[in-house]
Amino acid sequence: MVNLILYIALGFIGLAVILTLYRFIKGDTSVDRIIALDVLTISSIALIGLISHFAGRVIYIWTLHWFTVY
Amino acid sequence: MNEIIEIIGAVITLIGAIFLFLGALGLVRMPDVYNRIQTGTKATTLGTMLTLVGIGIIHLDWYGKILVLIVFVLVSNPISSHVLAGAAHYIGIPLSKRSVVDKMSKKPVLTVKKQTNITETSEKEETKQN
Repeated sequence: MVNLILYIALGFIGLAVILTLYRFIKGDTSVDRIIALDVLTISSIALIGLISHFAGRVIYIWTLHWFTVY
Repeated sequence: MNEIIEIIGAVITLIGAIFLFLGALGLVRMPDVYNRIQTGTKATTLGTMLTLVGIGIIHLDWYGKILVLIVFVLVSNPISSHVLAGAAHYIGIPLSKRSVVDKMSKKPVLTVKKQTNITETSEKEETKQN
């Protein structure tokens, strides 16, 4: 059940990445491309979080080791 | 009990993913750069935060790292978008035709024709009265 919901979430994030890539390619202006890249970065953080769940490894969200509970 | 908590986490992750999708949709659909920046910041920040919170609920032992990620996203994303919007305005990227007010412009605030007509007529009336 949990994995099913998370796979649906993965699909939504995949669609978001595709739409953002469309804007990145189409552009209009260079600022549009920069915004698309920014959104792509933020989306990829969520995507990496999901991938780390499926892989079962926290190593993918390796942030500031000395601050965090390992 | 543990399974219910995991389902709650998964649902929060799903809501976050939907927010991310809607943000990306806004990035495609919005008419000008400034509106795209708005959708690209607010929706995606909330979406990423919810996604990470959901995963943190599923894996409670990861929560420290995820909290650090959330703080960085929450701090960096609005600042970068604010700077981008300022830079876009500075280099003169035009607003959409449907935009009403440009408060950063050095020209008078009213930019819509109808409103300028109103001010013009009111100025004329004032001069007549004087």
